[in-house]
Amino acid sequence: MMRRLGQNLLSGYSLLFFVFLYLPIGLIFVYSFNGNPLNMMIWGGFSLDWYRSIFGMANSLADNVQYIESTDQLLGSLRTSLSVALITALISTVIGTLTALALARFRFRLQGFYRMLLFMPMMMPDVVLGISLLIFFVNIGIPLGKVSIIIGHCSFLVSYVFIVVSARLAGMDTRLEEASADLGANPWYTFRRITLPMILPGVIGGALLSFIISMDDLVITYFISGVDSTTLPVYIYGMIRRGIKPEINAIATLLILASLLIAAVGLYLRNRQPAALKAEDSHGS
Amino acid sequence: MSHTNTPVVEIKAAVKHYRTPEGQAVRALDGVDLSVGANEFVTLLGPSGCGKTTLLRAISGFEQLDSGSLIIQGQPMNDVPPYQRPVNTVFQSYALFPHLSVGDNVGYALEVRGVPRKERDTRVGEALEMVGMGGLQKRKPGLLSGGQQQRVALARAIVNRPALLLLDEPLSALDRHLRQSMQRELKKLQSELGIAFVFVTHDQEEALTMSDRIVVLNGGHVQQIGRPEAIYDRPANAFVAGFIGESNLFKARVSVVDDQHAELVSDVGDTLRVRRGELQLNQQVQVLLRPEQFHLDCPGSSDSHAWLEGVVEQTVFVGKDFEVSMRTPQGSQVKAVVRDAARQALQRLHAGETLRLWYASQAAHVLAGGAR
Ligand SMILES: Nc1ncnc2c1ncn2[C@@H]1O[C@H](COP(=O)(O)OP(=O)(O)O)[C@@H](O)[C@H]1O
Ligand SMILES: [Mg+2]
Repeated sequence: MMRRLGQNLLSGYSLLFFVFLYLPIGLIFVYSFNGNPLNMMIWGGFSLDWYRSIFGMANSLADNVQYIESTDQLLGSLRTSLSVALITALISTVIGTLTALALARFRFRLQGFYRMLLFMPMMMPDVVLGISLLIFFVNIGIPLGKVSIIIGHCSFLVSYVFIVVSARLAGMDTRLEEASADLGANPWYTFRRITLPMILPGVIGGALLSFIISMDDLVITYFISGVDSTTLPVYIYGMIRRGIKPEINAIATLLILASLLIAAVGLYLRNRQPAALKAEDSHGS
Repeated sequence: MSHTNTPVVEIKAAVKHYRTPEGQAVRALDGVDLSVGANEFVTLLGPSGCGKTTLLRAISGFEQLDSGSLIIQGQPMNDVPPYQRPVNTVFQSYALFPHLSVGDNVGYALEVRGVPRKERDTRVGEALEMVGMGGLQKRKPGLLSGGQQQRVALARAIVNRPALLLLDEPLSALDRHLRQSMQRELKKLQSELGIAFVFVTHDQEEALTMSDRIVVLNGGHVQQIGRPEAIYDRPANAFVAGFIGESNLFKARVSVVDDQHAELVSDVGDTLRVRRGELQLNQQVQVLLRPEQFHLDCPGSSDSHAWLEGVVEQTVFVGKDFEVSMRTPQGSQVKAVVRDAARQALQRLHAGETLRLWYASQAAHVLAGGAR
């Protein structure tokens, strides 16, 4: 009797938890098709106008000058976000991977210290990171803009990539690299043919992770973005004061879909490779 | 020796220290000399931690010697990186590349050297055929059993015909049955290929059955190098005697000498009789008697034979033989293996019976020095 009650309470609680978690997302999805141009929280019939507007297609709002202008700004910030995230992901993946390799494969002085330094940016509060980056850029004379955002994002995303790739490297038997050298492969050949393919899921995972975090970052970017280089999160944050544009629902929906796609690709890559590794482990040592 | 006189590998005075994370120095190799002839099967034998892997890794180039010289096929190798040494290794953990197929694993050494695909495929096929794994090129290594992975690792190491093959305890992960058949196959493969093998094991039986020569290592020192029979019959010191085979070892002092024989008294008071050799009166030595050197009855003239007497403590029947454990009045324990005991002899082996164990005095091996 008591157990029954406990179980019901528990499942009720879980249900509530998931409703809290996903209801807002569900609402955003539904209201992205809302045809009411004035109040986005009142249902005004089904419409694809917001999606059309995002992609610059003709829609029922085309004659409203104010809308068009701010839609351009919205799209501009989306473009900025995408290009910043792409370049950031690329740079931090390369640097993070090389750093992980250096720390895992070579022995040198102060190694533990370097490792600690790499963990620091993850633990530092965003506000602190943002303000210190701002002061840094201003002092050194780098104008605030896309470049400063990219440098700022890389400064902490390198850490994320480093950790993801390091985990992958830690699970890799160093004997494999020795076996490759033993069979006559020089270090570069060994890296290309053995090490890189083995850690590739980690590298791709790190790249996707840094892309998503860069897309998503508000606090740090808020400090270091210039007036004409607003990213999407910063723009949306600013919109709260000027009034929220309904397009935001459509953009959010598209971003969620893109994130799901990226996460799915990441998961697929993670699960595919270790199957061979696990089988290998169960026979070795 | 039946081998050609230019050695494949020559190591002189090799010294290697490791530093533990706590900063202590570990002496893994302490002045090791070793030379391996072409087509020779040399086994490094010793307890865990004696430096076998270190010596192997020094040859393959994954460890740098602190001092000493390493010459492979007449070329000094101390400063040559592993990928330029004409040596291949079969790793203890196999170390097959999990993301490559069996065929690509085996063909790796050829691929690295830019051997065209067609020739590579033929040679990979041949190598896999040699280890009894023909036709498995397409498989991924993760899907193979331990024994099969072992064979693939072997094929991968021999496909390019190295001057020397290094094998680090390659059979230790296999079960007993598989291990024995792999021992025979390895030996056969070695004579077919004509490649010198340096084989590492801590299993003395494996070393005795497979090797042309055995190198017994302990604490980074070479204890003895020799043919298996020599190592077994005439161990150089107490460590070798104790590590290889069962042994009864007596610390003893020469008490009586005549032309042919010497009589000795052990530290607890047992009397022993050996061939005189170079022995001097009052010399401290150690005497080794292998369990299978004992007989229940005097097999020849009583002049050339001697005996130990004691009370039987335990007798175990192990197939053909009886393993007898006896204690002398002086307190020494003597282990003997007696074969085909006749019916009435069986009586004598019961626990508590007094038993006389005979041995030929020239069979007793005298080890130099009473110290260990
Ligand atoms: N990388 C290392 N760092 C510190 N000590 C080591 C290292 N490798 C081996 N040793 C030590 O060196 C000695 C010899 O090791 P090893 O050659 O692996 O022995 P074996 O293969 O005969 O078991 C051991 O005492 C071992 O603990
Ligand atoms: Mg070892």
